[in-house]
Order: sequence, then C-alpha cells, then structure tokens
Amino acid sequence: MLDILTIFKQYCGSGFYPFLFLAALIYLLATEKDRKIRIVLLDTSLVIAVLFFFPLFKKVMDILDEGTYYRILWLLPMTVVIAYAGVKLIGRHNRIGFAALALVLILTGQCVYQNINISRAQNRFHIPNAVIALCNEMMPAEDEERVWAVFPDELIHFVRQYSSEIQMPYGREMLEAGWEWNWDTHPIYRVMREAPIDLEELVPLLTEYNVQYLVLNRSVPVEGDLQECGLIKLTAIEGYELYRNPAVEIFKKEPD
Amino acid sequence: MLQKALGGLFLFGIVPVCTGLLWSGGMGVKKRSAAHIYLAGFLIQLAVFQLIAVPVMVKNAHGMELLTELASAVLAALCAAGVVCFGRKKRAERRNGADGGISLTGVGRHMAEALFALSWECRIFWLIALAAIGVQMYMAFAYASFDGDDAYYVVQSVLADQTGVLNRIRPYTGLSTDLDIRHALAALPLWEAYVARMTGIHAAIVAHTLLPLVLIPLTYLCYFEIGRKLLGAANVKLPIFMTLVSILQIWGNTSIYTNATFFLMRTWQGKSIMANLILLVQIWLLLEVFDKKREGSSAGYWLLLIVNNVAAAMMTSMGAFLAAMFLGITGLVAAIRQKKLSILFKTAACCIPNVVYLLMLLVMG
Repeated sequence: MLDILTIFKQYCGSGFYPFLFLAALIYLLATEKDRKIRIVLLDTSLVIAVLFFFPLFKKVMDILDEGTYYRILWLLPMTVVIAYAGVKLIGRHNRIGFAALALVLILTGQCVYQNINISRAQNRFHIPNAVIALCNEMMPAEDEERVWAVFPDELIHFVRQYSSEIQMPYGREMLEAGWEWNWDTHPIYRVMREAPIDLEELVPLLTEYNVQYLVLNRSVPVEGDLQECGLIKLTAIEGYELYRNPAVEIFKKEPD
Repeated sequence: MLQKALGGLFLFGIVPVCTGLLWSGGMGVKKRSAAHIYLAGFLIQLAVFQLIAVPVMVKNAHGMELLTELASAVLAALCAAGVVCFGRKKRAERRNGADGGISLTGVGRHMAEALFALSWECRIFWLIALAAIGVQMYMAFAYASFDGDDAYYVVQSVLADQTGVLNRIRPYTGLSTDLDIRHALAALPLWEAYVARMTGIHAAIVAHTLLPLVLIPLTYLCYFEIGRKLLGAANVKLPIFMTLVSILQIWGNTSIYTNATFFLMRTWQGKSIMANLILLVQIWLLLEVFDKKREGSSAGYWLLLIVNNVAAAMMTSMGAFLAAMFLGITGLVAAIRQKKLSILFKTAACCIPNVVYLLMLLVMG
C-alpha cells in the first residue's frame, strides 16, 4: 500500500489536480443526473480509483509490466471531469466564474513551458545545431560504410535521431543510472565520463572499437596531448572539437 | 516540396476523410458530422497500418519498402471504397428525398449558420479557446522538449526510413539485433517512418514538428466532441469547457507522469497518444453509445471502438491492456446500471483485438 501511495504522490508531483479531480468527482456524483455521464465519467472513474489503491491489483499489474503502474491513473478522465464540474459549478456566472476557475487551475498547476527540458528549437529537427553540424562533418560518402563516433554525454541522445550513418559504441543505455544492467559498463564511457579525460587510455580503446571520430566538449579538460596520441583535429563547432582517429580507416562499401 | 504537399495531403487529408466516409455508413444519417468522419478516418488509418505493419515486420527484416507499398495500396483502396460508398448513399438519399448527408458546401453553410447564431459572449469565449489551442501548437512547433525516450522511438523511425530495416538495429548504437517483439508490436514508430517516406520529410522532423501540429488539434477535436455530448453544441459553456481543458493541459506539468506532461512534451510518442487521443476517443464513443437520445444506430460507434482498440495496441506495449481495461470497466458498470447483459457481450467483442494482441505479446514477447 505504501508503494501505491508513493506512486500516487509522485504522479501528483507539485500540483493539486488529482485532488481537484476528487472534489469534482464528488460534486458530480452528488449532482449529475445524466445517466451516460454517470456511467462513463463518474462510476467508471470511481472503480478505477478504487482499483488503483487495491494492493492485489498492483501485484497483478507488476507481473504484466513492472514500473508503469502510474499509467492506471491515465485512465481517470481528470481533465474532462474537472473542466465539466467547473462549468457546471459556475452556473450562469460565465465571465466571473471562468476567470475564477482559470485562476484556481493556474495557481494549483505547473506550467509546462517553464519546464527546464523545454527550450527554443534551433531547427525543425528539434536537435541541437551542433549535433547536426558535427554529424554532417563526419557523414560518410555514398560509397563508404557507416562510421563510428564517440560523443560527449549531452549529445548522445540526439546523434542517431539525425542520421543512421553515424554509429556509436555506446548510447543512452550508459547514461541511465536506473538501468543497472547497462549503466557504466562500456570501457570507452568509463574514460569519457571522467574529468579530465585520460587520452592515453582513451585513444587505444577508440582504435580497439573501430571508432573513427571523437567529439570532445571544450570545457571538459583532457590529460595528455591530442596530437601526440595520434588524433587529428578536423574542426571546432560551437563548444565542441571534432577529431579523426586515423588508426581506423573508413571502409568502402562492397559493390553489390 | 511537391512530395511534401502531396504526401501530407494524402495522409492527413484524403485518407482520413475518405476512409471516414466508409465508416459513416454505419451511423444514423443525422449524426454524420465532418469532425466524426475525420476522427474515424484517422483512427482507421492507424489501425489498418498496425494490422499491415506487424506481419510485414515479423516476416521481413528489410520490409520498409514493402510496408510502404502495401499500406499505401490498402489505404488508397479504402479511400476509393469510401468515396463509392458515400456516392451511393447520397444517390439513395436523393431518391428518397432525404438529405442528411455531408457535402463541402453543406459543412460550410452549417458552420456559417452556427457562427451567426452564437452570441457575442460565446464568440469571444470561442476566440479564447481557439487562441489557447493555437498557442499550444505554436509552442510545439517553435520549442523543443528533450526526452530521453526519443533516442529509442524516434531513432527507430529514422532507421526504418533511412535504412529500410524494421526494428532489427539497436537504436542507441547501430549494431544489429534480434527483433524486440515487445517494443516492435507497437508499430507507431514505423507509421512515423511511413509518414516520412510518403512526405519526403526527415523522420525526426515528422515526429517533433509535423505530428504535434496534427495531433494537438485532433486531441482537442476529441475534447470538443466530448464537450458537445456533455454540454450541447450551441452552449456558451462549450468554449469555456474547451479553454479550461487547455489550461489543465498547459498547467498540468505537475510531474513527469501526467497525461498533460506527455501531451505537450512528448506529443509524438505512442505513450502520449495512448494517454490522450486514444483514451479520449474511448470516452467520446462510450458517451455516444450510452446516449439514450442518440438518433440512429450505435453500431458505428461500437465498430469504431474496435478500431480504436487496434490503434491502442499500436501506441505502446500496454496500450491494448489499458484500453481494454477502461472499456471493460465501463461496459460492466453500464451493464449493471442499465441491467442489460448484451452490453457485456458487445464490450467483450470490442476487446477481441486487445486479447489477440496481448496473447501475441505473451507468446512472442
């Protein structure tokens, strides 16, 4: 039961909408006469809400798909019920009632556009320009095989959303601490996540894993000399530097 | 540019409208509205694609070409059937002297009449409601939201589009892999790749920029239909309801788990479409089905519930289960309330695709 309460609290987060929903549900259960609305929005919501807090139901759900129990709360039509109860509640006082309701909803919620993960798009891909420019620099020619590249953590998610021609020895699975089966297991990542990055250790690994390109964030210090380690600087784009590892050739496609 | 326009017109114009016309044959004459037809057609497109994509993907690793050709051919055939069906029905209606059907001039005239009939207060509330939806569409277009899952789902679309390989490449790295059936049975990333192929637009742009411009208004169309069932079409409360819904969505980012967070931050992902569009369609259809005052048969709505359940399976591995659960609970409640056992049978019949899908998941997954 504690588990379920924790999931409910996490779902509510910093807002009060689930509690507004509960209030709206009680209000509508007491006042709504239309049978179809009672069946689809009210009685069904009540059953789902009771089921959600029923420990045995959670056990069954965990067998089906562990870690997604919060999705049962998606089945509660919170938005429809709150908005419908609101318009019923204000009666004939449309203007003042609407203003008051809007204010309550704004004050008890959290604006999505203030989320730190939302920023002005740099292009229609909604991928950082630096990723696109770096990928274009290392894009293989038509007669060449796909290339392998290592990127700093903050760019990893975007690279293959732009092009399937750029491959990476490791990807997002290294960055998710919750994914214990993958996290922190790739030898190159173990070097890349450190500051300073040890080039003496990194470059042989790049060669071992057939990586032709390396992208470094200029603000992350490196230990060792890039040129002495055999890396050739190709270009600098925004805060990143692109290096070629000449020890690994770019392979030509075999003719069909 | 021409390919973008023609592909977009085909997938988001001709197919939803014409396949929607095919579905509208199952409904009472007076209930055919343009919004119903478009929503039905869009869902049919998704469901048909899911039914084609799963076997193609399982049988053919390099099947994107085949999938594109098959899906286009079947959708085009359904469109043609819809137009023929609609033409026949119109002719029959004219012969019988009835004209409850739909036409472009009819829709335009109906909308103009409805607009003139509104009070000034109602018109202003509608302007606010439409502006709120417009803001969400603009923000989805002009602002990027970061989500780690894109490194899986969007990349699956990019891979299918750029390499023609269906779910046999690890999205994170590019190495080959076996078919991950659990994720692959939810074929939405392949549909996004199909949209990319048909329009010639990069799959990441399709997901992040194009689809929100389609899915956000489509979701609000569902809210509009639900609002109409709750409040009536001519009621001044309807635009107030719509605006409150918009506020609840925009200010609903209280945690990473809410429907609203998924709706505006991960609009293009299957989980988001499941939590919003699919479940809202279910609510709308169930309100129609259990409406005693509805004119005409409920058969069309029950049929669309089946289509919606197939589309649910396309969205996420748990989509079929969630949709069946909601439908099952509502069906049970309705059967008890209305003392009609037949509701349970109809509900069970609607859930057959969900059961088949879940069995596939258990056996193959």
